[in-house]
Amino acid sequence: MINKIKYIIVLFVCINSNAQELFLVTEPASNIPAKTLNVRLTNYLMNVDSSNQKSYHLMPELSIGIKKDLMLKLSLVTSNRVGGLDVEGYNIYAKYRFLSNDEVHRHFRMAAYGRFTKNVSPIHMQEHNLMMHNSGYEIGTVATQLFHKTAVSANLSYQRAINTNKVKFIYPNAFNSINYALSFGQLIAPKNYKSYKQANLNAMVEFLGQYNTGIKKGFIDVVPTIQIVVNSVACFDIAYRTNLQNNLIRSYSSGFILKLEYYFFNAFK
Amino acid sequence: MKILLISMLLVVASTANAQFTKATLQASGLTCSMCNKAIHKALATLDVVKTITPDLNTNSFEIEFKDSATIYIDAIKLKVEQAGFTVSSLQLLANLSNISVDKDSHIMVDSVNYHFVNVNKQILNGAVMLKIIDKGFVTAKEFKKYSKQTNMNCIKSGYMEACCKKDAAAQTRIYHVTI
Repeated sequence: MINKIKYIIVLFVCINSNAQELFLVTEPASNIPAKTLNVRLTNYLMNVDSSNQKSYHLMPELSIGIKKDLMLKLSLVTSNRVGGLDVEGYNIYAKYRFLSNDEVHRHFRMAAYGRFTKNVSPIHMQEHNLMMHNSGYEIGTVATQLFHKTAVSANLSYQRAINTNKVKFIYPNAFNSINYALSFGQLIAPKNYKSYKQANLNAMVEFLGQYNTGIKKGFIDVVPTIQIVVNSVACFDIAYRTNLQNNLIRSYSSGFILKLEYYFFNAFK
Repeated sequence: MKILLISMLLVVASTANAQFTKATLQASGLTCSMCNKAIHKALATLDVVKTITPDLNTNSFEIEFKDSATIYIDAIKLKVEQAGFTVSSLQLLANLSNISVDKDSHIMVDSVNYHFVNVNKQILNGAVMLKIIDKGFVTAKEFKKYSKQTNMNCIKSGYMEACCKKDAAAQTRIYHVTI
């Protein structure tokens, strides 16, 4: 695992230049602008841990900038678990930015967030995957430092799996977990901006951890991402998630993630 | 009666006309072009804006106003904040006609109150660049510096206070500016 981390850090330092905080998996402390809509379409092509099969999830998401410091995100979870692409659940996520120390070309911001998810997928893993698999809720906080074009973000949250009428969480001692993440982002190109039409190239690395407080087990994953920003309104991300350390029973701990994203500024009054 | 007449004269003497033609705004808290575009798009929703020329490297915006437009300075700041960022500098180019200013003079221009901070006694005529130095229009560090340049409390709130004496009613917005 140490070798893997070293390799990723060396790779990351080599492509160093400038950066951003538009991470693929975690949210930064900044919100989307007020009166703005953001549409995301995220594709997960994950390797199923217990077999050689692939699992495909497609998540359409709509983010709404309600106020300058409050945003709401609604996600639909679909997967090919039973053949075709079926809707399996939904997520509701809200984030409130409560601290913002802005300076020219830098900021330090903090936000609090909450997530509620409902999902009909059968539970066969100890891991809590509120994005794609579990019903549950999460409350957390995030701090993001932007320094020129380098962004570093830290997340800490508590989450709890819940039983629903249709699906029971089958591990009685594993309902609660702590999620933590450290995300780095850097802008590779352009060196100097000339217009909004210039494509931006960002490189990101996210370390994602979970520790189940009941069964005292957890995992650490890493997600290196390349992101292209087009016309200053659209993003295309390609990433590969892989596991660094794990002793939990999980559904999938590695695979490709592809995301398309578009911002509609001043979408409503 | 005499006092009333003098008071009326004072009000007339400190009321003048001005026309803002351009503004130079710098925003803080961002580096990316997408964030810059969010501010650009937010500013463009102001009816008074004719053109916006952004500088993506400094996150500055040259704003040209429509002719005879009435500019609400706080509205400009609000747009930047709604985009998720902060104003770190706002300078307005004003066409002034024979406005007499001095240190801490309170002048009403087009029904808007301005408090001139750290200026020498002079008459302003023609195109003058006014820098807004209220909280939220400059960096926190600069605001601390400008706050020390006047003993009047109104700079802290941006509203008329007891220090403003008879110039206007309390809780009236007063923009603190310097040249």
